[in-house]
Amino acid sequence: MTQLREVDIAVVGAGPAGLAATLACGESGAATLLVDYMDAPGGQLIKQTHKFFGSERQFAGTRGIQIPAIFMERLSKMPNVALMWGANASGYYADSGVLTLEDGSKFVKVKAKRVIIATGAAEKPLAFENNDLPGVYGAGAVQTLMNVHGVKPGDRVLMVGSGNIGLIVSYQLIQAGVEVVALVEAAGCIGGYLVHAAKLRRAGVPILTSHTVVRALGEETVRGAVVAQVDQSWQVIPGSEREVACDVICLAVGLTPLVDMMWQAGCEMKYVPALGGHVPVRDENMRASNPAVYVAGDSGGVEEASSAMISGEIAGISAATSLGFEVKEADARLSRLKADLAAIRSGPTGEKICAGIKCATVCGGEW
Amino acid sequence: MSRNSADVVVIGGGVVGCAVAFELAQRGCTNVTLIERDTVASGSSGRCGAGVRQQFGTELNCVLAREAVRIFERMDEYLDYKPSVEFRQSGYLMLAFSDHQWEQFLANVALERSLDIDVKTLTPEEALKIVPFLNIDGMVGATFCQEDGHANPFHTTFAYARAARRLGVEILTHTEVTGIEVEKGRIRAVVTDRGRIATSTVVNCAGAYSGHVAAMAGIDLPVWGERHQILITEPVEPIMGPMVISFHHDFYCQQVPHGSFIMGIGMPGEPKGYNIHSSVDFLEGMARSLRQLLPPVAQLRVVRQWAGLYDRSPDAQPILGECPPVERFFNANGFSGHGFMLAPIVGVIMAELVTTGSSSIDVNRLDAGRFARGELVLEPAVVG
Amino acid sequence: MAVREKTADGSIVICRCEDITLSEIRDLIAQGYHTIDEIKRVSRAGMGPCQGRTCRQLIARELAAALGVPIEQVEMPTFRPPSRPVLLSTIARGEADE
Repeated sequence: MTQLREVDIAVVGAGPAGLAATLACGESGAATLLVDYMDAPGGQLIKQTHKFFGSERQFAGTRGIQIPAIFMERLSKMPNVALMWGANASGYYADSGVLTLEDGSKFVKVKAKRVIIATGAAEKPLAFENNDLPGVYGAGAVQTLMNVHGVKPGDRVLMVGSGNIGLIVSYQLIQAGVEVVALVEAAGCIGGYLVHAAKLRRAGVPILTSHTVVRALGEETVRGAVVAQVDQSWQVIPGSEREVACDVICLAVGLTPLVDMMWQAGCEMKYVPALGGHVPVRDENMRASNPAVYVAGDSGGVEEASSAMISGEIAGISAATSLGFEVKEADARLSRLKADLAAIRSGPTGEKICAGIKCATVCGGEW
Repeated sequence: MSRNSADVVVIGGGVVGCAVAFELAQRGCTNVTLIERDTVASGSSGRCGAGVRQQFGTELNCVLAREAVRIFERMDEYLDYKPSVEFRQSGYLMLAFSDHQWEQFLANVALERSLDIDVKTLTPEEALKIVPFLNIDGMVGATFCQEDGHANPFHTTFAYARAARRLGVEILTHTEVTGIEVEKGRIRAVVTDRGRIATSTVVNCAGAYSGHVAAMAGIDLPVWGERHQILITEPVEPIMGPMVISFHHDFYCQQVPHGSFIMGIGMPGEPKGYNIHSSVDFLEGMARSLRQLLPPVAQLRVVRQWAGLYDRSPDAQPILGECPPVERFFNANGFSGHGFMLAPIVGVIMAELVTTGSSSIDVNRLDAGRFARGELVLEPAVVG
Repeated sequence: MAVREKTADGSIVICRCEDITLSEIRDLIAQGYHTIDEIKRVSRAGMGPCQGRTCRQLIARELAAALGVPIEQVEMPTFRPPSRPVLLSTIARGEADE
């Protein structure tokens, strides 16, 4: 038939989790392939112009956009690591352990002993009247347009959602010369870090808690929106509707893990709201119920880039050792990485995440 | 569970089971319970290519298929279903790639015409008038029947289920049959994971699992599962009317009303079993066959591939009728890839057999006992 | 583009790929289609290029509300290859250069 490439470990997704996983696999000597459907590595990092917090190990003080190059510096020197950009992971066929990739003109089959899925997460949709009108965007798309392509999505944006993404993208819009006419948040309080919200207030952006968008206005494209106040059961309070003039409605109502390949692989999945939706059930070393498959980063539960790098490294080390490759001081490294994760998760929003992770982890931490 | 007894228990909520249940109710037998272990049309009926043809090589199959088409033609009205079962008579174009195959086709055509099925024989050039982008290299000839076509398998199955319910049939989903109580050769009850239903009559429409169901009644029924794979493309404007079939390539392809192309090929060496995972070998093989036979269609994108099971019998022909040694255990299974297209008439025949003991079309040759008698029915026109 | 009904529900798009509105989804649930798979089969919601990535969560939420169950209990259909549409000619070509 056709060519079938063989690798020890294939890593799908070159965001922070995938990069960290590949580095760990590469260091172990395993024949590793890292693929990403974008033309360059980094995943969400390529849009993250802000400096990271946290510990030195997780690149505190470094801007997100600089991190891919730091990984690539080492990965590009490893002869046992192959990189494929512009290659979309099309399917994972669990019966044969084959991963298929396509780039529009070639269809590649890779037989991999282990697969690490690090495909990240996607915007959650929101249902409101005329929600399919051009001018309604996900926040990720707006961020890509601006930070990667230098394109304004419009001139007047209504932001929906006050999590960190909604707050940060609003600020980035202002920096790009776009007016943020208002930010609406259905909950009674702001979801993200108050330091980001304060910047917006200083810039004059009205932040309306207990409010949501109910209708997009316009015939061919967005020319306005109707927002309304909601009560504690998310029901619209009649009479509270008012029109807001805008040409972009930006949805930042949360992310949900991208887990198609896990489903394709027949992995046991669980719906965990705290993690953003369906995630694969995994052991403490990020291995899924299909023992050939590992999960890392947001695909395993929406957190942040630092957690992604840690879970990526955990997945890489455990995938490599499961094949018999030697990872120096693997146990010690794993303990330290898990401690780092616990530290990140001990912050204010951490309690829910911890409960979510526990829900998504197989009993006793081992299959 | 609402009823703990029924006059008839139908096992299997696919198109055959639902059609049988409806036709029973139509004949006044409304104390019917249909048991489906998942949801209606979740098995083969929800996965099939859903082509409907009359071009067969045996008289019985031709007659059954012809009568099924007549029901399909008026099905929306017959079952009072909205929006529609989407039965389109856009025809079946069957391609022959060898002299031997062409001779078989000509014999089939003679038979079909004798049974009022209007089939045309075509030269390869004439076939091009129907599908201009067909690759006729190596083709010897083709046959075309305009009244053949395609329906929507989900709507068809749901239509029968809804019509059955309206007449009083009870349909229990997410309910699995775990046993069949038989005493002195008579059925006493069907046992499920949600309770027991006393009954004296069972109709086994469990598709690929019909062998398992029969075994519960102590019957050794030679029906097994065989994976068949299928894929669908993105939609485009209508460019191809008929179903195109080549037995030589074990290939079929149909553009459906939505605009997508649905297609499949047979995979040699597919083992008996219940695996419904997709394979990359199928995807590659399908793409190559498509590129060869219908080159422009290969410029479309595949949106999804999936698999389903044929309920196979030893001669790839249905198993219909009462099944000794158990009284009033009826089979309607073993369709081996043409269950959907025959379901409407099978529903009628089974309902007739169950309620009166005889049927308007004699299907004795398709009984379960034929295998032991060595009387296999050899149908030359089967596809992957 | 589908004609928008006058009701509010009728202008809320749940499945962008196949243009299925909230009012259609609610109608199907009322008709007795109580799983995402059934709703998908009878309406095509989730059969488009995104394969349900956008709509399934929204449909799940409607089902959970209508059936009075937590959303965790709504059965999710699986995902099948390919993860995004691929040209069949590309698959036929494989890694060859032609």
